[in-house]
Amino acid sequence: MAVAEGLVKSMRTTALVACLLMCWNASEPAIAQQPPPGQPATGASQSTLQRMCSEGAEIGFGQAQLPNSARVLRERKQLRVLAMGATPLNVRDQTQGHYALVEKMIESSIKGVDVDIIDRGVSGELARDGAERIKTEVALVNPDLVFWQVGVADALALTPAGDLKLTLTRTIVWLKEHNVDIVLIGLRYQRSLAGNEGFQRIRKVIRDVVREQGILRIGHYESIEALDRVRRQQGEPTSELDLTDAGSNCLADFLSRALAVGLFAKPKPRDPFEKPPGGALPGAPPPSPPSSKDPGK
Amino acid sequence: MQRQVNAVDFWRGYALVAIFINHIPQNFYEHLTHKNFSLSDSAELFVFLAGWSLRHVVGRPDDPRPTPDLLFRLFGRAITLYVAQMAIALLAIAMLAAAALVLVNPLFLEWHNAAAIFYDPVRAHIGLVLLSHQLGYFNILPLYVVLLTIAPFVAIVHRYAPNILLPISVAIYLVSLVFGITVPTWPVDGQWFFNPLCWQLIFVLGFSMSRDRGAGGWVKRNIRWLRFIAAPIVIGLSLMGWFNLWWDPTKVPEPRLLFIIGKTFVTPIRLIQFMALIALMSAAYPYIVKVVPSLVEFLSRLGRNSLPVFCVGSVLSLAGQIVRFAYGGGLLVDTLLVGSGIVALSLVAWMAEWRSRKD
Repeated sequence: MAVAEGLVKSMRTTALVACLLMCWNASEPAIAQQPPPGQPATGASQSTLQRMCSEGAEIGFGQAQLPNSARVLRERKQLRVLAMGATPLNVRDQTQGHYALVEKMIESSIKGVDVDIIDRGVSGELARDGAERIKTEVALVNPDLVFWQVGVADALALTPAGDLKLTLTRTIVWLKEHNVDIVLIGLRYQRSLAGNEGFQRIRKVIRDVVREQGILRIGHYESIEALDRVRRQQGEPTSELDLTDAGSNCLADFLSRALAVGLFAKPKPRDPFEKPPGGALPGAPPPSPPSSKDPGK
Repeated sequence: MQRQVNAVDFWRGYALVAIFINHIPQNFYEHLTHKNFSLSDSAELFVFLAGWSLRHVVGRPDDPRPTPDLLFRLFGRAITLYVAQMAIALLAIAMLAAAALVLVNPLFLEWHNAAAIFYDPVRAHIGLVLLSHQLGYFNILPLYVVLLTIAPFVAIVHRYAPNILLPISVAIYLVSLVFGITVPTWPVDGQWFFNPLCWQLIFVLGFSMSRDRGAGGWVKRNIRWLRFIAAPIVIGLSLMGWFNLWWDPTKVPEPRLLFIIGKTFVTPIRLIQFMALIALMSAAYPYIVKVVPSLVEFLSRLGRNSLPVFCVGSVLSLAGQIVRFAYGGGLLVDTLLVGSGIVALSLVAWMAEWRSRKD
C-alpha cells in the first residue's frame, strides 16, 4: 500500500516537474531556451522545482571549461560526445532516449551546432571497468567530449575511495592527453544515504578529483538535496521516489546547461563547491555545505 | 546415466564458481580468480565449453543423432534457456525492488540497468521478453540463448559441410569487427554487452575443437607444440596486463577493433590469449586430478548441472551484492557470502542429480 502511495506521489511529482520544465525559462545568457508561451509556473513549490533544475547545473561548474570542445565547435560546428556509465532514464519523455533529449536541448541552446551523443554506458559498471572501456571507446568513437556518470555502482559495491580516486584521476589525465574533454555526472542525492559514510566518501572523492583536475561536474546531488530541504521546510516532505524522479527529470537540463556554460561562460571568481557567502544557494534556503555531512573531511 | 568426471565438466564447474565470485564486485575473493592474471575471463571459458558440449547432442561421427531429433533437442534447449533467463531476470527485479524498499534506497531501482523496468515498464517489459533489455550481470544467458538458437545451423553445417563451418564463423566475426557491427539494446540505447556476432566464434571454436576431425583433430594431434607457443603468449600478456604495458588504443591502425582489447567484441588479442590459455588448461587437468581429486569431483558435479547452477549463482551473486552493501564488506562478510554461495551451488547440483536419479 505504501509502495502504491509512493508510486502515485512519484507520478504526481513527475508530472509536476514535467509541466514545470516545459515552461522553464533559463536566465543564463549563454542559454537560449525559451519557455513555451502561455505556460507560466504556478505555486511556490513549482517555482522551487523549476529553480532547482535551472540552478543545478551551476553548482558544479567551477572555473572549468571545455577547451577542446569549444575549439571543435569553432572549427566544424559539430560535437561528438561519448556517454559512459549508467544511462540516465528520461522519465519526462519516454518516447525518446535520454541522450536524444540532451542532444535536442543542446542544439536548441547553441544555435547551429550539431551534437551527436553515442551512448556506450553500462549500468552497474564500476569505475575501474568503465575506465578501461573509455579508452577503447575513445579509440572507436573518436569523441570530443565524454559524459561519464560515475560513482553509484562504486558506492553500492563499496569500492575503496582511494582506488576510485586513482582510477578517476588516471582516466581524466589520459583523456586530457588525448584532447578529449570530460564532464563527470556524480552521485544522485538520496535522503537515506545522506548520512551513509561510504556513499559520502565516494561523493567527496568525485568532488576532490573534479577540483584537482579542473573539470566540469554535474552537481545534481546538491540541487536535489536543496529541493528536499526546501520541500520539508514548506511542510511538503518529498518521498525518496519523488526525489529520484526529480533527479532524472532535471539531468538533461543540467547536462545541456553545463555544456553551454562550459563552452562559453567566463570563469567564475569563486569556487562554487565552497559554502556560498551567507550560506545560501541562489533561490534556496541556507544549505549546509557539502562538507558538513562529509565524514571524510 | 551420470557422466564420469571429466575435464570439460571440471572447467565448466570452475567457470561457474568464478562467475559467481566475480559477480560480487569488490569482494575479497574476486581478486583471486583468473581474470586478474588473464586478458580473458570465465565468460569465454563458459561459452567455449558450451560449444564443446554441443558434441554430446550432435553425437559421434560414426553414430550421429538423426537430424530431426538433433534440431528438436537443440531448439528445445534454447527454449529452456530462454525460460530460465526470464525467471532469473524476474527474480532479480523483485530482489532489487525489495532491497529498495527494505533499505529505503531507490538507487537499487536503477542499479544494473533496472531503471527502465521500474520507470518505463511498458517498453522495458517488451525489451525483457525480446532480450533487447538485459540487466547487468544477467547478460550471459541471453548470449547463450542466441548461441543455442543458432546451434542447429552450426550442427547442420558441420554435418554436411564440416570444412566450411569455421571459415563462416570467422568471416562473421571479422565482418563484425571491421564494420563495428553489433546488436542494439532497446528501450535503453546501447548495445549487447556480449556481441553475439563475435562471441559465436568462441562457441563454434569450442564445438570444432571437440571434434576429432578437421580443426579439432589437427589441434589434438599438435597440442604438445601448440602448448609451447601458448605458454609465452599467456605469460607475456599477463605481465603486460600486470604492469599496464598496453599500447594506446587510439594509436592503432584502422579497423581498430582488430588491434584493441575489448570484451564486448572479444577482440582478436583477447581471443588468441583465451585459446592459448585453453591449451595450457588442458595440460593442467591431469595434474589437478592427481593432486585434488575431491575438488575435481566437486567442480565436475557443478559443471554437469550447469544451467541450474548458473541460474542460482546469478541470483545469489546479486543477493551477495545487496547484502554486502547492507552489512559492509570485509573478509568475514565476503567469506561468509562466497562460502555459503558455493555450498548453495553444490546443493543445487546435488539436488538436480538426485532428481534425475529418481526419475
